[in-house]
Amino acid sequence: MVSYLLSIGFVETKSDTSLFIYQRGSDTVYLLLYVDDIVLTASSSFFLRRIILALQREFAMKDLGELHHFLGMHVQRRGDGLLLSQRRDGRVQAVVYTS
Amino acid sequence: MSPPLIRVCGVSTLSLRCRRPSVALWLTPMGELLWRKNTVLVQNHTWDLVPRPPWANIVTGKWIFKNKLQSDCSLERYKACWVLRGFTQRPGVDFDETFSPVVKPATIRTVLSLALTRHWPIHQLDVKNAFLHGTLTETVYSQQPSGFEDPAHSDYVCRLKKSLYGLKQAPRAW
Repeated sequence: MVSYLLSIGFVETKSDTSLFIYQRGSDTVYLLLYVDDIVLTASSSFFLRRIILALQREFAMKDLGELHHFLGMHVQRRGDGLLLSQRRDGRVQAVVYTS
Repeated sequence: MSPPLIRVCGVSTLSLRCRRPSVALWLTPMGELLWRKNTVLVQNHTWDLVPRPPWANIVTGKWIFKNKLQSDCSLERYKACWVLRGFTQRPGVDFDETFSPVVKPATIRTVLSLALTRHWPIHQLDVKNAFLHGTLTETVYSQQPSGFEDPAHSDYVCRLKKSLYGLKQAPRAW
């Protein structure tokens, strides 16, 4: 997976080896990869679609649509922000709000 | 060996100790899962079946069942997985590096914040059988999946070509 990403022009960031960045002109893609968990964001829906199709040609993967889970975290849209929460034993353990 | 092994929550394991599990097992939903999973492993050329080298360490494995739950805790589907007991691997011989990077929380927040402020769409993808894409560089031998031993070569072992869950090098190989 990593070698494929690099071959199509992604660059592995120095600060975090699980973040890959693709940049061509005004098109940008950020890709977070942890084993079989992938979070993908791009500067346009059209470009996001193209990248997903390219990945799907190479690997069997399912587009789960808008982000709602990542690494055991729950992600919800709240107005113009995102609410990240983590549950353990039925209790909410951590809440982060980014906007 | 009956379907109740698959409980509503949690993980169950199954050791098929007998060489030839009873025919009844294959008729249960669990048996069907095992068949399907074993077929995926075979079709992916996960290993070569070879005579057991006398010096080789054979990593043992077991079938694991998981219940995949939906966010409302209702059952989505059952999953079966053939995992290797990585703790039976020998350091320096069967594996060198076990290092696997994790995503830093700060990175996740940064990426999400950037995407939000720029109004970018954020999607998540799920890779099927991710480990089966990873090619192994070390030579690792394992037992044949319990219950699916080749009848003509039941004493043969699997020389792995692809990574499998449970191997020390599993998360790195892909």
